[in-house]
Amino acid sequence: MKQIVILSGKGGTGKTTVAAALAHLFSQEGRVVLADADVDAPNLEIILRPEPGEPQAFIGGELARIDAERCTGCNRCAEVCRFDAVNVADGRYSVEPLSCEGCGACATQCPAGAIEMVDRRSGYWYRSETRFGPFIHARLEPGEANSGKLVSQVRAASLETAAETRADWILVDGSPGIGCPVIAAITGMDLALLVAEPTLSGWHDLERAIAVARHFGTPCAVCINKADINAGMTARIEAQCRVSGIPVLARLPYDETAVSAMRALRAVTEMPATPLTAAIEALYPSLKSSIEQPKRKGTAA
Amino acid sequence: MVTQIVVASGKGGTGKTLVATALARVASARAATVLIDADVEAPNAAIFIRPTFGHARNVETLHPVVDAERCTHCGRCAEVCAFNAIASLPDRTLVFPEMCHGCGSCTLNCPAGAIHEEPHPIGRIEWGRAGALECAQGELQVGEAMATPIIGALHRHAVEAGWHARPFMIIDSPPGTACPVIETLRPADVALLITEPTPFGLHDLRLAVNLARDVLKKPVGVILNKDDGLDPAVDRYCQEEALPILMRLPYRREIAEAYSSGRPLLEALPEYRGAFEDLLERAAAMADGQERGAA
Amino acid sequence: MRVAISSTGTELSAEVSPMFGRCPYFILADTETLEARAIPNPAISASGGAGVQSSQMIVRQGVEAVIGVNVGPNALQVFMAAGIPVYQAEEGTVQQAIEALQAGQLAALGAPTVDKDFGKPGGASARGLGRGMGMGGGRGSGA
Repeated sequence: MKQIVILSGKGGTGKTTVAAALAHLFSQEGRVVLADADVDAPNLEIILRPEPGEPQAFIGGELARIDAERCTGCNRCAEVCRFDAVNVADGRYSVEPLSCEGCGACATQCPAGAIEMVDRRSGYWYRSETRFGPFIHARLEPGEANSGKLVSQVRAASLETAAETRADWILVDGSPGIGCPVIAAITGMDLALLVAEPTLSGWHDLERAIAVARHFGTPCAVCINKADINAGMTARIEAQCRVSGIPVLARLPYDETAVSAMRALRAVTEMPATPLTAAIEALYPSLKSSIEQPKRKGTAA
Repeated sequence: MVTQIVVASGKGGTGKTLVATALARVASARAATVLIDADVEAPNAAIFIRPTFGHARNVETLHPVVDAERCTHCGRCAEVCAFNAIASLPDRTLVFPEMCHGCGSCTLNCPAGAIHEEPHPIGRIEWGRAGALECAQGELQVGEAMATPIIGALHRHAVEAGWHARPFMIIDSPPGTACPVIETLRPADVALLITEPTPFGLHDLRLAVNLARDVLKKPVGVILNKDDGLDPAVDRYCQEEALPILMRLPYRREIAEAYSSGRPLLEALPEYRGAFEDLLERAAAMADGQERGAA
Repeated sequence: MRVAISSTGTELSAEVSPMFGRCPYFILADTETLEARAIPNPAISASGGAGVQSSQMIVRQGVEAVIGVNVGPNALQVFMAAGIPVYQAEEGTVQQAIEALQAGQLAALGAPTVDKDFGKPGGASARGLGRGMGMGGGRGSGA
């Protein structure tokens, strides 16, 4: 069973468009589990249109709560809080939920025992069914932190589901950036497919995404989306990838089909054939063969 | 007193940097302006503005270091750590710095006083100018998890550097609705949310409006980019929610080409200057309709 | 020898769990007598650092070896620091994994003796066995 994550560094390069199409293609040949690790702006569900499973509450952490009755106003909590989460108004102490990290330092230090840590329901995750297979997705409540942790929950659920269904692949749609939700999505993956766009900004962010993949030991490969909007930039990206030893698996042409498929709530490969659908269909076998073969039993991992 | 205009979006790639940099240019032609790139995981504004950053400062968090001689292996540090960043074993104590949030709880609570904290760089901020426009950006070090402290450092620097005395601060936000965006929006006087007329764009706009307007209580204006006129859903949504559409940028190959080669929009297509001047007026008016956000 | 094995269920007939930090149970077994009991994994709902939390719990159980399929770098680092070897099982049941261990068929990662630089800041880090998901990347440093 192999796991692939689709990332980009930069937003808007076409991760979800490519993820939906690959989900379609993988599902035609074998059993696949899909997951959306972009938990604060989850878009894969728009194309996958899941039969939603029961919402599972996600406790992202804890929130400090000050009991006004017991509080003596000694200010120790405000002194120890590193996150400016203690508000004082008219001598009354309270915790600002948007700032509180749930570390509990205040609770351990309060001499009056006036602070308790309560579970913080930060969002929900779902195990749903789609036409391509089981789909794990999640939603972080607005204003909540800990998106990385919710991503870890989505990944853990995808592994469990893959074990139950004996899936051959887990395909994860990631989020833009390089911070904790991306780190949580990239560790332990068999391959990170980086969707690049041939713009200066896109190249700049792709380099950072490659650096993150390397830092965490995840092999990566690139596909260049909308490759024909700037042939010079596409050539530069390919040359740099060659120098860095990163395979460029495909150049996907710019095509309005991408948007019309999205508006039709379909994967691009579910639409009538165009150069874009052909390019993604060609990407699919290259992607599979670029993932390492499983080691033989008895050798070290 | 400054007007802080934050340019944000739910979905990535809708044109935040394109709009923030053009808006900053137009604002700085009128009055002293600071442009801050708070997309610290993937800062791109400098590509279009080409500032000279003369100053930089590391941003650090504090990580615990355990003194093996004094450690009694009581396990209290692992007990209080909410993030499983410290493991207490029978004969040693391991710190996992990537999990550490720098809260200091282990250090405060160690009964043997065996823990002290050391600074650990997670990124940096830098600042300078591009002509009349003052600029700053933050950058998260590759491999580090938390963008928020760097964005916080940018906000604090803005106060220290006296930027709150400038008429305008334009802040290019990260995409999404998670903690880095919350931190970026904190001092905003108005939030400009950029979207595209597609199902993904609308879906994520709703999330961004929910965060900026309903949770953070900011005045919100919408900018519709890459408008090909084929999808009225965003317009309908904005009408239903009484959200003003402050600017529309059409879907045009020339705009995409300028962007792709790092060419500033107003240099390639100066005819849009007027639209950005209007945008600045309308954003400032929305900000004025509300009390100033706190620093 | 007492071993701990990541498991999807409470019986020896349960499948070995493909993930370690958030598996539902650990089976603690005696490899000679096959006496076994299951303990629920406290880290299953950990919002972060599940590998660190679950591995510490196992160390406290006093086992002499650990078996998993994918063991993340943080959990692995804890076990190496505690001097407990970690073995990689193929897909199959817990019982099959124990039998394979007894027959010397399972690959171990590294030696249980800890490198002299291990645990110092900037010293060796653990890569992890199989494909674990540890967010820390095994960069724990020790005292």
